[in-house]
Amino acid sequence: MDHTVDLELEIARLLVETLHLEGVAAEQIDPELPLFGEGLGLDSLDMLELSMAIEQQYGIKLRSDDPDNRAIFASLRSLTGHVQKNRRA
Amino acid sequence: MSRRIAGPEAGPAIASLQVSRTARIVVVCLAAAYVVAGLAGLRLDAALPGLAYLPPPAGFLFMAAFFGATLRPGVEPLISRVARREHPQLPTELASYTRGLTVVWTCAFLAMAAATVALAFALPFPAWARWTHGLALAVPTALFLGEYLHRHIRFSSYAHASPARLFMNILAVMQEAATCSRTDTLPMLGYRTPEDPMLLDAPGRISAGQFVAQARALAAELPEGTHVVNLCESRHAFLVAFGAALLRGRVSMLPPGHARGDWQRLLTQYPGATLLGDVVPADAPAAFLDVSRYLAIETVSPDVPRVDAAAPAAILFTSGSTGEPVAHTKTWGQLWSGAQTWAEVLGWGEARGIVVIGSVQPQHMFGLEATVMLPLRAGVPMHAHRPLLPSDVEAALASSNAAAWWMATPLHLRACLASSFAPAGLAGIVSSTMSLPAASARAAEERWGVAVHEIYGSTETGAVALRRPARDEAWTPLPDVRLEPGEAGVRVSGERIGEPVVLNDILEPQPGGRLLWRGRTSDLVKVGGKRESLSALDRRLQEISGVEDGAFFLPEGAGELARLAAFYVSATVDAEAVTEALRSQVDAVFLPRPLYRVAALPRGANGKLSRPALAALYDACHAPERFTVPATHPSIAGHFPGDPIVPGALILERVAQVMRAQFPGKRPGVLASARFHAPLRPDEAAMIEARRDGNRVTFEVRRGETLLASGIWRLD
Repeated sequence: MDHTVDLELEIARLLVETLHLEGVAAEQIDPELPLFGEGLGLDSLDMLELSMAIEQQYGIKLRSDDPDNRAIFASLRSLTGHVQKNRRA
Repeated sequence: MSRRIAGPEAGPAIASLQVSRTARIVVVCLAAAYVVAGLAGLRLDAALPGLAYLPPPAGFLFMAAFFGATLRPGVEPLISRVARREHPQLPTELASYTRGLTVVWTCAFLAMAAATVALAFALPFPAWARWTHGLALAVPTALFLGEYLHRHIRFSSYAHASPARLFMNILAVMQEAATCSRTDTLPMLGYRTPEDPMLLDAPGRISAGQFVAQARALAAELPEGTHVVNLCESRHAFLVAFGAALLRGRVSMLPPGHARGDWQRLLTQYPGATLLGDVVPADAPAAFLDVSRYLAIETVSPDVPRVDAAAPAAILFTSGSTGEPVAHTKTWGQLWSGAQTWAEVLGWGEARGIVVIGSVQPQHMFGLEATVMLPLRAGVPMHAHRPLLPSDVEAALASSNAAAWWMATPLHLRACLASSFAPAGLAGIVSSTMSLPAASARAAEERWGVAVHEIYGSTETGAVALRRPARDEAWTPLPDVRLEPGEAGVRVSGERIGEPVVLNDILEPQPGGRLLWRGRTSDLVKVGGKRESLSALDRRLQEISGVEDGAFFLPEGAGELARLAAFYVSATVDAEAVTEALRSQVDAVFLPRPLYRVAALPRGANGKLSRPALAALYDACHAPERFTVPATHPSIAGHFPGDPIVPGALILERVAQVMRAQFPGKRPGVLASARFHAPLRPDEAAMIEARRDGNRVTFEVRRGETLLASGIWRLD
């Protein structure tokens, strides 16, 4: 079983659930699609909600304001990568 | 604006002042010599027969023309210009008073000219000279002092300049009028020196002088036009773009959304507008100019540019009732004086050792006032970006070793309260954009040891009142506005506001001029003959401990007998406890029936709840209560052939569904009693009502007014 794909789906579900993305199925989110702006169309308040959910679920405090951290929120895949790295560390 | 554009407005008399410097010095020296000779009693009339009588009446006539010329239509009266130096948005009553006063001074100079001519026939020259000089001294002094006192009494509600400052203002206006320069400008920024830090970035800082140089560099490259659209994400880029627009006399449009549609609409509405941003959008239009190229300029401009106070500086938008955004224009004078009021009410005094950290975007009124105008006016450094997540704010605090004021929204506070946020060096929090629950404010004050302030305001007015929700429910109006509660809403007036604005809020006056918010006039509902505002009820619901979110809803078409429904989100509190808590807060007729516990409220991106979204939620929650069993239902066929009736068991199953939906966490247990009073036919609509009393649920099933079934069911 591929753990990354598992976690990716888990985070996708968290995303859909936390942000009440109506009409979006977790399985259908393209992991490479930008989460914010033109991709999934999330905004900064969504980012706030999502960071709260991730902290609660995985105990990771996310940052958004420096260029490296902005990369974390680039896509579902980059977010999953970050969560995986920091959860195991 | 049109009045300002009238621009150099000197009359013919003033234009005659445009003479060479030497000629002016000669005239001043001759006048001084004349005055001294007259006071010394010299017989100038012997040396210059006839001519010796000329200078005083000529001087008086000149002054009369100097004042009188500014009374022409389309020109701002001279004394109004003096007043405008203190009150950039000169209120109508002050404008008409100062116009009248300019008339009085013009007449006084004319009268003095006439008196000196008349006296020349009655008195010998030395006596005439002394009388004339006496008049020239006594009349203006008496008029000035008398008017000064009169004005303080009549306009006690306005701030008045000290005599010394007034004198300087008069000199400045005289000089400007004489040299035909503009009268009413304000500085672009309030830093004490060009070396003062203005923008704090993680690796370094941008000084005030450096900022001016950056804004100038961008201003020089702005294409021709009247408007710019400021899309900048970082505070640094926003300020450079805003500053450049001010320097070129451009109006900055501040769209709250930065999506393509938002700015494309503006480019269509304002052809020729320039888009200023710090993130280049995908396939950027030709009108786009990248501000980030100007942010590294290290030159320092030594001077502080001045900005026309009465010219429009920014346009902000509100969502109108039709869905089309409505534009609200702010002049630099309005923004500048608003910022001054903010600094006063937050008790900043000299504003030394303070830093502003803003988590809100500057493209809406609260963000513009709190995170741009306030620090700019007070000369306080600000964080160059927009820290969003709790750890971003922590990092911003760590990088600024000064007392930091954090400008945020209740959503940011909630996120920080939910996380292990540890703000070191935080000196104060200002929250706005939506109501801050008192419990959050108290939790923040206790946990972080800082005062949490909340601003009441609107895009139309800017900030108008302040409170500290952890301590006070009542709002204190800001000193430069007047709030008059009325039937239609609260009327906000004041110099900074311009034309008075009516906000759709119900405010209740309290002792000491304070005001309690009682809801909105636009969402009043009438239940059981009593009126209440839905948003006021929402606030009560949201403030119940353990309730994360909540909203009331008046279902459609229920008429006079309507009851309110409500939804709440909570991980800990059951509906019974919520109703109990509400009972002590609101009139019994407004207690929600039913009250639904839901996973989340359908809030939009900006946190707003729309009525259609709530209606959909209501239908989804409400559905189990209304039901129709179709004739095609498998149970109908054999029950009874030729005389179909919905089986009682099916009805009871629906009742159980309703109980599960209405009382989450409980399950229908023992059915204590059930009676069937009338048959329910297939395809007939029925409605279930379940009332809970402890663990006992009384239910009724009706078709219209007809009672079909009733009974008692226990909950497990």
